[in-house]
Amino acid sequence: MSAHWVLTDGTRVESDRAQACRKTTLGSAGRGGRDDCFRGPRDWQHHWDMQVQPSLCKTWMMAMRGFLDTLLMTSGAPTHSALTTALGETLTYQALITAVEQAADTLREAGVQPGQIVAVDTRSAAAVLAMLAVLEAGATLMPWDGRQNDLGLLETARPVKLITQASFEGAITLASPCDNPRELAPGIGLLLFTSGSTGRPKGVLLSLDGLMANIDAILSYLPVRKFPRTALTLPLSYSYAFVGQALVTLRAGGTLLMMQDLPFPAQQLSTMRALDASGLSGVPTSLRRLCEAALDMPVSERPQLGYVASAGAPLDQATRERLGEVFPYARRFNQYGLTEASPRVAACSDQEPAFHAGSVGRPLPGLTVLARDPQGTPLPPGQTGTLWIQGPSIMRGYLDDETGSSKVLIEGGLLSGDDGWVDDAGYIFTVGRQDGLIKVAGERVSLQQVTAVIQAVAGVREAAVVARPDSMVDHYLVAFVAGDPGIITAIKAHVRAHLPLAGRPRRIVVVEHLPRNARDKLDWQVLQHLATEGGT
Amino acid sequence: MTWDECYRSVRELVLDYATPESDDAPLALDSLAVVLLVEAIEDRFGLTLGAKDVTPERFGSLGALVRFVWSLVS
Repeated sequence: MSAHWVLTDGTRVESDRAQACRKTTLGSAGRGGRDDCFRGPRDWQHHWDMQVQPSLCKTWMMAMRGFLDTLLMTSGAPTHSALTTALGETLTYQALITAVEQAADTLREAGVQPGQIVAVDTRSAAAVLAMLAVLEAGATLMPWDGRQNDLGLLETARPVKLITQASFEGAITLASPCDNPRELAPGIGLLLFTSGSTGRPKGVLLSLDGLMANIDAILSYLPVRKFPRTALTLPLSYSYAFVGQALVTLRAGGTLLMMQDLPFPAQQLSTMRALDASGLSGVPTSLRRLCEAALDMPVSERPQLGYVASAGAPLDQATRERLGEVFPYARRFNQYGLTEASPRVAACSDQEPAFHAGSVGRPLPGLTVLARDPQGTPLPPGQTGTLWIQGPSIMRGYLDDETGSSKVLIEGGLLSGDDGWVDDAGYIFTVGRQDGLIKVAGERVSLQQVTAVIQAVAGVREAAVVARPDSMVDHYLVAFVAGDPGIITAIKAHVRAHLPLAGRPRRIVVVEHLPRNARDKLDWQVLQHLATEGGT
Repeated sequence: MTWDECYRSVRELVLDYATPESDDAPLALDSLAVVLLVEAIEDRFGLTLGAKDVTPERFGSLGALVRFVWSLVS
């Protein structure tokens, strides 16, 4: 019987070459044996001359070649700048490839195998090279924010290595954060933690195929090729930043302007201007702050953006209009996505009437979105239900959570948890969620998780957490705690140690007893009312 | 409000978003921390801070931030 592969698009590949390439992938490093395969941008002339068979799916291509070759297939010339820091230091594509390969070699020499997890501390601009190196080495990348050391995510994920530091030359510093590293199924590119409705962070497993499909789908509407200088202001630990901006820009042959170290809006604007940024993506909170700062400066001093895109939380009408006033020449995009979908699901631009009506857009190529009722039955256009997404970029599942995975992965698609409807023309409108997950400055926060963390403090008799809408940061949290007045110090310390920034309540109110209604249930109406009144 | 009360209140808010080693040490805030801290200060002190108020000079260290807030509330 001849060797063959059945690709994810159903194509059957039968050849010795397929078998040889498969051996290469499963073998030591996937480096030897690639010479007789497509070489990609390492061999630039060959790259330009190469005609790629469109029928071959990305899995096969990636198996033959490293991640970088696949990602950069359409990228620009080797001397073009791939990355520029806020200080103006620039790395060409050639230098980026060399640095990533060197870091990937370091990982292989340290014994990192495909299927193992490598965490990367994402706090420096050079972390992006380390993140690419993990994928190049065939391992699963776990972006990790080193400030959130106490959240226990490393203990949960059990990565074989943690990259604590990286340089633009490709040097990386490795730590071994656990004794019993885990093995994942092959093909998982990313492990991202996000708040879950049960209160514990969930590890989202995303395939490399799905990521690549999502990157190309994003490039079908976001004009990164036309406006290739992308200002990267969000943390690299977000799928929105790493996949939706960094990988998308590199695939398009653009330049990443690394601005995460600049936290102040006016600083970001002047740096964007100085570095000639042409594209900006943000969450509504960061865009609102930027608009505010931009209005203080003349139009001629503002960055000349070709597009500005929003995602991560609903983009309200005031912010949509303000963006148009502040960046009059920029095309505005509203987008919808979630970590479990690699992340982008839908988008629309200000040229479409639905943008102005508040839609988050139409599904990207290859994706289907419809609303389902609580029984899972698909609903006709116009009726509100839970949004369900089908396509190649939805997650493989949650880490160590078959029950949770089977609840959301239904009918061959992903139940997003977001409520909304789809109109006759296919435009999606979201209306929120019912499961206690809310957005704070674009980050998903679980009210159950915040409550559980507070309740774990000794002396807390009872706790309830209320989310209040906020015109700047989407929502803020007010925690009500039944306990002795002096307990607030212990609660604050515990919250700081166990919750990410966005999950920390703005106010903690200590009371003798939490309000209850006639049926002895917590009176949420009273709590919501109290939360609007201020005080500490 | 006294200077001491102002100092304690600002420090309490800052510790939710940063762990400065001293009053003059850099706060090392990222953009999310900046926006959440600004909102928390506005909420706690009943202030409205514009973009011009949110600068590296004023939010660079705990000491600088206390002096800035004190200049607004005293």
